[in-house]
Amino acid sequence: MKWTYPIVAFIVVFVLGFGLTNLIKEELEVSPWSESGAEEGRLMAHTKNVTRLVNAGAADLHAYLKQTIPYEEAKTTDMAPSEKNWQEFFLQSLKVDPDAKNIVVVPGGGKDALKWALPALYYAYFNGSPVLFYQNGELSGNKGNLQNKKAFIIGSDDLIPNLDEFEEAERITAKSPQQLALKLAEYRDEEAEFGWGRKGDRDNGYFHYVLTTPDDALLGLAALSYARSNNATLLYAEEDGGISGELDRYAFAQRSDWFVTPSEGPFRHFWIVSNRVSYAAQGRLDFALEKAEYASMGPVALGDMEALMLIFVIWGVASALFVWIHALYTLPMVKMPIKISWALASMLLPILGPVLYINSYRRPATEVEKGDWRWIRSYNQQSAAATAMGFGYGAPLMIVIGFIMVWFGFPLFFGPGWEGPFFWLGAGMPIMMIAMYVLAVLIAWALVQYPMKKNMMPGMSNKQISKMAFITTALSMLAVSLGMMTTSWYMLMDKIPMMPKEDDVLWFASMWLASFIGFLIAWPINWLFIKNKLKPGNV
Amino acid sequence: MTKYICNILLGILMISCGNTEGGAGGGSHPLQQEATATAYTVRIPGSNPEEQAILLTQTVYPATREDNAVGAIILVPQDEHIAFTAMHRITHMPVNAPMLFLSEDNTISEQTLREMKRLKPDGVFQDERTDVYAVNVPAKEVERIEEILGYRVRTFFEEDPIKLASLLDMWQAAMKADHPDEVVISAIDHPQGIEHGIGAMGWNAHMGKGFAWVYRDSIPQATIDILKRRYGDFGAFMYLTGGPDVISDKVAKELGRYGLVRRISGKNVFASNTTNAGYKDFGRNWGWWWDWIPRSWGWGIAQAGHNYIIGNPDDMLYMIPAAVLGHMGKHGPILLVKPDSVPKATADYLKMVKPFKTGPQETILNFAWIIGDTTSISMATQQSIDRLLSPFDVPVDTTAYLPNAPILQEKKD
Repeated sequence: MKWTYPIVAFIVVFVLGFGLTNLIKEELEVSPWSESGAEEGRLMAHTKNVTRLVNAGAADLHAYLKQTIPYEEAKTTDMAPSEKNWQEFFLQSLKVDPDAKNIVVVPGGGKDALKWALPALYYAYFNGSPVLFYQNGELSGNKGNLQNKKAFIIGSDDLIPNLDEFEEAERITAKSPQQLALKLAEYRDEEAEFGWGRKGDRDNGYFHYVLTTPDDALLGLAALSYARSNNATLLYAEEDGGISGELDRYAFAQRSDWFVTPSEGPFRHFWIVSNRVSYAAQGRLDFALEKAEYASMGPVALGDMEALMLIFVIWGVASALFVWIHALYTLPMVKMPIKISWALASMLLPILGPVLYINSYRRPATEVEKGDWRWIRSYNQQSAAATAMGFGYGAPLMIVIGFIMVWFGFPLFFGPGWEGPFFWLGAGMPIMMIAMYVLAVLIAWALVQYPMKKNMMPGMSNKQISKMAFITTALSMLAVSLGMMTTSWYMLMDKIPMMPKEDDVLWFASMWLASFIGFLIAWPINWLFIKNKLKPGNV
Repeated sequence: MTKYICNILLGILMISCGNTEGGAGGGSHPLQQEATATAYTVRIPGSNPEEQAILLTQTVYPATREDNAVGAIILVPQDEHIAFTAMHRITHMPVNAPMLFLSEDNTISEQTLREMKRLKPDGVFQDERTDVYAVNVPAKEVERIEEILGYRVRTFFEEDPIKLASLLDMWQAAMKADHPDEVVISAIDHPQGIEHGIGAMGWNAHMGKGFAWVYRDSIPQATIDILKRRYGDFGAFMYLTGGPDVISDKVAKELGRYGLVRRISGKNVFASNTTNAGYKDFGRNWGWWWDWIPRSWGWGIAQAGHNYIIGNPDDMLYMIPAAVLGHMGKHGPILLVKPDSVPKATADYLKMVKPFKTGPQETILNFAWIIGDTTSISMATQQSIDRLLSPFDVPVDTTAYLPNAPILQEKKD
C-alpha cells in the first residue's frame, strides 16, 4: 500500500500546480483574443474607458473638435494644424498666463521636432506657460516677460542643447518621444508649477490622456483642446500600433480602486486620436483603466491585500520545498508517508510548518523496532505532529476538491421546493464545503489513514483499523474544517467584495489562510486524540 | 536537455501571451460617425433596441482577454417588463452579464448571434458555469445557441413579470446563499412605472439588490412571497419608485407589514430619476453580537466627479440594457432627458454636481453616456448636457454654442 501516499501527493501537487500555473499564465497574457474575433462585427470603435476619434487627418480632427469642444477656455486657433505651421498653430492657440511660474523651451522646426515637443506643449497649453521654440541656434515664441520664471528645456539632445540664457533652468530629456511623454506625465516641480505629476500613487485625480503615435504627432496637436477641457496629458503609443511595456505599466498604475462601490471616483480615460493604434492596444488600455476593488485591484494588477497574501502563499511553497528537501537528505529514519505529510502541511503552514517540523525531529529518538523510530515529544508537540499528519493530506485535498469544483462550476439548486430557512443549502458555496469535507475524508481515509494505521498496528483486524481510521480522519478533518470553512466563507463571501475565481490569487490565498486557521483550531483538538491514544504523535 | 525544455516552455508562454500590436485600430465601423464624442459625453447611437444592446456590449466588453469579456449573457425578447425584471436581477456580479435582445419575431438575429460569439462568456462558476441566461427565449432558439455556439444555457420561462421576479429572486438567493434585504418595488400597471424605476434598476444592475412588482393599488402574491423571504431585523427594506400616483399610499401602507418602506420619487419621471441619483439610504439591518450588516441602498451622488447614463424616457428598451454602463467602466446612475431639451429637474441636478477648475493632480471631471441616436437625443441636447457636466460656466442661452451636428469624416484607409 506504499503507493497510495505518493499518488495523493501527486494529485495535490498536480492540481494545485496546474491552478497556480494557469493563474500565472492568465496574468501574463496581454490581449490573447484580439486577433481571434474580438473586433469582428464592431459597430463603433469606442469602449468604456477609451474613446477613439477615427479621423481623416489633422484638419478633420481639428474641425471636429472645434465643434464638439466649443468652450472659450479650451479653444484653439481656427487654422488647421500642419507640419509646416504647427508652431504658429500652437502659439496662436496658447493663452499665456502672465502669472505662470515656468517657461517651456522645446525644439522647433520639422516633424521630428514636433514629436519631441508635443508632450510639453500639452502641459504648456493647460498651464498657460510661455513657450519658446529652439531652431538653428535661435529661440522664437513667447519672448516677453520671462523674468522670475524657471525654464524647462525639453527634448532630445540632438534637437535642443542645454541653454544658458535663463536664470534658472531644468533639462528634461529621454531616449524617445514615448519615454519623454511618460516622464512628463509623472514629473512635477511644485515650486515652478510644472509637470502633470500623475504618478501611480496619485489615487484621487480624474486623469484623462490623449494617445497618438510619434508619427501621428500632428493629430495629437489637433486634439490640443483636451489639454484644457479635460486636463489631458499626451502619451505616445508605438509606431506599430502597440503600446510599450512602460506605457502598459503606467496605465495599470492609473487603475483606480474603490472602497465602498465602484461608483465612487475617480475614473480615468484615454482619447485615442491616431488610427494606427491597434484594437489590441485599445483593449489593453481599456482593461488597464477598469476600476477594481482595493483588495485585489482586479486581474493583472496587484492589490495591497493580494500582495500580502501572495507572500503568504509563496512562503508556503518555499516552506514545503525546504521541509521536503531537508527530510529527504537528513532524516532517513522517517518514513516516506510522514515526510510527504510534513511537506504538504508546511505548504499550507508558511514558517509555522518548518518550525514544528524541526521541533519535532531535533530531539532524542529511539528505534522501537528495526527501522521504526519514535521521537520523545511533549503532548503539545505530539499534538502538533499528529495534526500535521492528518492535515498534511486532508487540507490540500480539500483545496484540490474546491479548485476542481470552482473550475467546473458549482451545482445550484433552487425553486419552490428549496424555499424556507434552509434555502442556502442549494447554493454552490455550502455544496462546495460539504463536498470538500466528504470527498477529502473518503480519499484521506482510504489512501492515507487506513494504510498508515495498518502499518503501525499490525495486530489489529482490518475492520477495526478501518473503523478507527475513519473516525479519526473524520473527526480530525472536522476540526480542521471548523477553522477552514469559516475562514474561507469569511474571506470569499464577506471580506473580499467580489468573490475571487479559480484564476485569482485571492482564491488560492484565501484557501491557504483558511487552512492555516484550520490547523490552529485542530491542533488543541488533536491533543485529545493523543491523550486518548487514538493517534500517534511521536513518529 | 533541461535548457531545451525551458526554452520551449518559455516560447510557448511568450506566444500564448499575445501582444498589443496588430492592424490599425481605426477600422471601418458602420456607426462610428454617429457615435459623437464631446469633451464629457460619448454617444452610443443605436437606432433600434437590438442594435443598441449590441453597441452597449461592444462598448463595455472589448473581449480581448477573459478578464474583459463577459461572465455570461442575458438574452430576452423585446418586452420592456421582462427585460426590466431580468436586468434588475441578473446583471450584477458574480454573473457579470450584459443584455442582448431577440428580434421582433422572437428569433436570434445573425448580428446578435455573432456578438454572442464575440463576447466569449467565461461562465458563471457559482451557477454551473452558465454562459447564457435565456429569459422567455423559445426552446428552438436556445437549441441554436447550444448547437452553434456551444454555450451552456440556463433558461427561465415565466411570462408573468411578477412571477419572473420571484423566480429570479429564488435563483439569486441560491447563488449567493442570501436574500438581499433591500428590495426595489415598481408598479407594473402604471404606464410610466418603468420610467420612474429605471434609475433604481440601474442601482440594482450596479449592486445586485432585490426587486419586485406591485400593482398601483394592490400587492400580488408573488411579491408577498419575495418579501417574506427577507430575514433582516426589520424584514425587508423597500424602495418604491414613484409617488402615490404611481404606487398608491394604500399599497405603501400594506407593504409596511413586511418591513420599512421608502419612496424614491419626483414630480415626473425626470425628477424621480434625479432623486434616485442623489438618494442614499443606509443604517441598521442585521446584527448578531459580533458582526453586523448595515443596509445600503442608492447612489447618493451629490457632488462632482461621476458618470451618468442619459437617455430618453420613450426609449426604455434602449435604456434597460444601458444599465450595464453602471455595472462596469465608470459606473454611475441613469438620468432622463427629452429629445430636444434637458428638463429642469435633470439640469438642476447636473448643476449641483458640476465640477470646478482644479490643478493637474487633483482634476475632477464628470462624464456621461448618451443612449440612442439623434432621434432619441438630439445633438443640441448632447451639447447642453456636455456644458452642464463641464467645469465651465453655463450660458443663459445654451443653443448659442452649438453650430451644426459635428460628424467626423470617414477614415482614409
